[in-house]
Amino acid sequence: MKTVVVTGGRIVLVSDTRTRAITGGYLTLSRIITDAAAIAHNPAHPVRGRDGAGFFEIASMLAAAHTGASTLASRMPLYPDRDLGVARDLVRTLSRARMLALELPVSFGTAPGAAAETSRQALDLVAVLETAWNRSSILMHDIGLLQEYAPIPGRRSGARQSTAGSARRLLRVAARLLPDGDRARYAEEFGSELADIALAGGARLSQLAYAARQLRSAPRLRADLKSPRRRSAAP
Amino acid sequence: MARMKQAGPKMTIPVQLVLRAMLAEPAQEMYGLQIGQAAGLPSGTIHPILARLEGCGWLESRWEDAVPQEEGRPRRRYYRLTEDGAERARIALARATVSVAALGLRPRPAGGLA
Repeated sequence: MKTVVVTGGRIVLVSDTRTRAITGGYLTLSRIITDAAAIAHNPAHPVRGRDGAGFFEIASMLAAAHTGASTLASRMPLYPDRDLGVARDLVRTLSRARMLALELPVSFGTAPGAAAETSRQALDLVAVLETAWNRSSILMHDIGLLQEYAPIPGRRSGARQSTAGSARRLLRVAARLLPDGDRARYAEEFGSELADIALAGGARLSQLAYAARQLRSAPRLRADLKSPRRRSAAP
Repeated sequence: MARMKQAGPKMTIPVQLVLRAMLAEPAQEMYGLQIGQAAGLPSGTIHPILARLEGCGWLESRWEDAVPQEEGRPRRRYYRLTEDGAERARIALARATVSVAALGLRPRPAGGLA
């Protein structure tokens, strides 16, 4: 099923499947933020970082972040023009909260009970906020892809949920031009990016353009992968 | 032989744009399409640059910890600057800017997201 939305002054069709994946992502993110807030609200010891901000300030930020994530989780449909701003604010808030958590004093070794517990909480908080921040950034980018690859109104193709066979074939050819040890990795990586374009509503032409660009640059990629200066990178 | 001793990639404009995009949030992981969008470069330009940077040890990459069936899409390949790579990138970009200034040319602003 498709949803009609207005973005940038034009009427476009957005895949409901893609929207649900994004809003579902924000629902998960709101839960992660709740976990972070639970830590920030219950410090063993109310320590503060270099700029005077501590667990309390982080908890306040997380309350605002939770509101943002919950708002985006309930959006159906997503309006990229409007919701990208909310998503950006959320990324900035989580980034700021993460930076404050990194500033919290941490004791190691023979610290007394409360200090050791606070240190553990600070480290846990940093880890959870790192996850939340990364996820929020990815989801913001996904909304941006909706805006970029929204199909042109008036064209029959509309929003697509599957990748074009011709584009997949071009990408297979591109991957075959690469060194043996790198083919599987790049075949999967190109396929993943093609799927992202398709899920964002990219029409067959957009997908073919993407695949053609990868094919055209495959010889250069091959040369870079075979360069003698290259250290071994994990596949 | 002298060329073999050169550390890091050649600082072409596209390489600089990619590095600037990734230095905006050095600890942030990004995938290929995302990097291209942030740098303002077409998708065909990105992967050779990423391969070059990864080959120099400036970038590291990993597969996403995601179940495709749950996410509704295949897993992505994420890239991030290494600690050493971020430092080297900053130095290399600074040198590139100085070189352009020394030529009396005005560098074009980097593309990407605001």
